[in-house]
Amino acid sequence: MRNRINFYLLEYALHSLWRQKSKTLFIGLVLTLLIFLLSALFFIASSIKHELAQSVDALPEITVQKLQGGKHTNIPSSAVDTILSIHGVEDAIARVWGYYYFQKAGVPFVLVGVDPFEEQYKKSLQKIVDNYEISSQEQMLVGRGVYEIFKEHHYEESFNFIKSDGSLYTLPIAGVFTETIELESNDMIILSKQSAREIFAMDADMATDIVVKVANPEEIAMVASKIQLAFPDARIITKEALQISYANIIDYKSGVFLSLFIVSLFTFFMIIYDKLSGLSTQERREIGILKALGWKVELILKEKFYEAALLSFVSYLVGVSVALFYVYILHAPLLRNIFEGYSVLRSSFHLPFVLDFQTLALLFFLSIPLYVAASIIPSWRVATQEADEVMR
Amino acid sequence: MNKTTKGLFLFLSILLFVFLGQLGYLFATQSVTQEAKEKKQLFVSLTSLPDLAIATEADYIRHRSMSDYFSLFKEGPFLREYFVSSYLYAPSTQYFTARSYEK
Amino acid sequence: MIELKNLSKSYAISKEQTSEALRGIDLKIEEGELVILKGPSGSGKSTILSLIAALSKPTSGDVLVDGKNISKLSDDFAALYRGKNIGFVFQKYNLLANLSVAQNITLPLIPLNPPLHELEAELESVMQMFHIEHKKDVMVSKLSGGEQQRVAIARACINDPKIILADEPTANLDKTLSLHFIEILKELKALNKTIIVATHDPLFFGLDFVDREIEIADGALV
Ligand SMILES: Nc1ncnc2c1ncn2[C@@H]1O[C@H](COP(=O)(O)OP(=O)(O)OP(=O)(O)O)[C@@H](O)[C@H]1O
Ligand SMILES: [Mg+2]
Repeated sequence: MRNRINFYLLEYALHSLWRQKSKTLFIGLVLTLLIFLLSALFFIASSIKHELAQSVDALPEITVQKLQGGKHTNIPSSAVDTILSIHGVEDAIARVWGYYYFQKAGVPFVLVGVDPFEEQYKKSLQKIVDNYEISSQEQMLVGRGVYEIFKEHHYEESFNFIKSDGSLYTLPIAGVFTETIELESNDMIILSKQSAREIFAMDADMATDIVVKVANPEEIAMVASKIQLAFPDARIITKEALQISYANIIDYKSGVFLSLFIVSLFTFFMIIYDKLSGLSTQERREIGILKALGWKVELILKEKFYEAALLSFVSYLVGVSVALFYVYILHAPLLRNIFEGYSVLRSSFHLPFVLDFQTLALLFFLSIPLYVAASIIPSWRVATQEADEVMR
Repeated sequence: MNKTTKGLFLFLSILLFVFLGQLGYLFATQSVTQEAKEKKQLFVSLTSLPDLAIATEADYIRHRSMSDYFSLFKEGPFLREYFVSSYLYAPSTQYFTARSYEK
Repeated sequence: MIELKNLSKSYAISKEQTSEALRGIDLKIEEGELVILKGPSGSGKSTILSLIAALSKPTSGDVLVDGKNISKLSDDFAALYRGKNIGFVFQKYNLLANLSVAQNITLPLIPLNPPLHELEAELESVMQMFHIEHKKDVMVSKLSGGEQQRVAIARACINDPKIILADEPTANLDKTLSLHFIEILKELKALNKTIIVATHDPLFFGLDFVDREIEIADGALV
């Protein structure tokens, strides 16, 4: 008998919530909204981080940029040989890449020149490109966003780049990157290095920067310092620094807004607490009456716990469910602006879903226990006073 | 247990079902598959560029870790400053990790 | 048996001042006795009842119920004691206005968590006893004063207490309803309950089934 769940108490709690319909509804809505915003942000941030983590292994360990007067400038391709001679360097590649501003659309594209338009790469390229049919070096592969913009401006088959001397440079579109890699490739154009140099008006013996592969992670710092020694004017970016910087910016972006929401969450609990600590005479009287009728303090608090836990648990479930739907199915309208800024070229924001129990648990513990505590403590203070005193 | 309580449990189970069902559905349909991961890696190894095409409005934002301090200002008066994204975060030049100092 | 031993209660009004509600009350009430506690307003009647119900603690002295010292009980045991032994009809009834009659009456049973059929049986029996079953599902706030009073009495009786305390039960009632309450008292007395009624309503004075009338004035027995 002692161990049976007291359904009468649960029912009483339900009735109590029902009795204060407008209050319940209001608190429930505000709590749900806060949990929703908080979890939507958490989800977006963790998905972006997850997406980045997917490909981080494929990144080169070190990037070497030449600075001239503090500005990034082209580096001679010959630097590759010097770097290759450093012990521990597995490979060094002179990269040609840059931005191309498509004036009519007001969109900057990222142009990356690569060598692998040769036979052996064709097979692997086929995996990431829809309708792949490269027949010559003078072609390009474009991201989906780029392709959309091209089509809008009636470049269905090929695109005319404007070179620095004002003449046109036409490249046929050989394929569009598949949707799977949209987040990586949306604004990218992959073309041969030769074409890239042509468009950027770069000398054949120059490169944008040099990426270095180091097999042993223990040696990265050592290799980096040796490269710095060989090229005192170079800026050297290690993968680790890059990862940290990127993680920081996501955390920072979500963090700024997160802190706002956490502040509002706490404000909310403060208000609840404040409101309840001066429990209305009616609520005080109710506690006093229950006590006078033989309810133990524990039982009264249990009832209040049921009330608060029910309300906050329902808010949690609704808030998180709506956030999941909002982020992964609606692709976070409005909120994505925080992450996209005023970009003209936008990805469809198809974020990968990460089943992250830590985030779910964090949200759970940020919302439910706090609300329960904020609403129980005032009741507890009243319930431990003398019943006679409270009923007055 | 009477009608009210039964109603409550029904309501909670429906909510829980929606919640877990959605988690399950998203997990099954929208998480990154091994195949997708390989594709992403293939693409990134092709370009060797790190960032995602989420904020693309300016080059110092698109590949911010590849950008230098001056890029931020070259947009001149057209730069529409907005907090967070136009905030410049330079990667550390401290590639000497703490560990390598110890050695 | 209820025994009050040199019972005193003073309330702190301000930091320096205290008001003495009771000063050294000695009183014995036997089991099954029906006692009328009378006295002018502010004389300390409610205070005595609340001390017997362990709703508050005396400043000095003891309350013994069946030999057990009630005034030394901890909060939880006091609640347990009330739930088992005391039925209290409060001066202002103290019903929860937005609960139904049935919900109000069954409140004292919730801590015991009885099976549903037992709870309903007990509810039926007290509702019948005090003629309120036709209002079972009506909000208490929609009841007349007399009906509210019967709900309060039904609630006081549902846990089958040995002791029933009634504080000014007829303060809000007209003469007919007051007389009706006196009939109820008679019935309860027939059930061998110990009953203490605090009142200054002259209708209660000189009734033949009342065992004793105790008068207090200014916190002391007269
Ligand atoms: N919580 C309290 N704080 C301060 N003084 C109190 C408190 N409760 C009662 N008193 C004082 O104790 C005295 C006795 O009060 P009590 O309520 O017992 O009187 P009563 O005989 O029931 O009066 P009435 O017939 O008006 O109900 C009064 O003078 C009252 O002012
Ligand atoms: Mg009184």
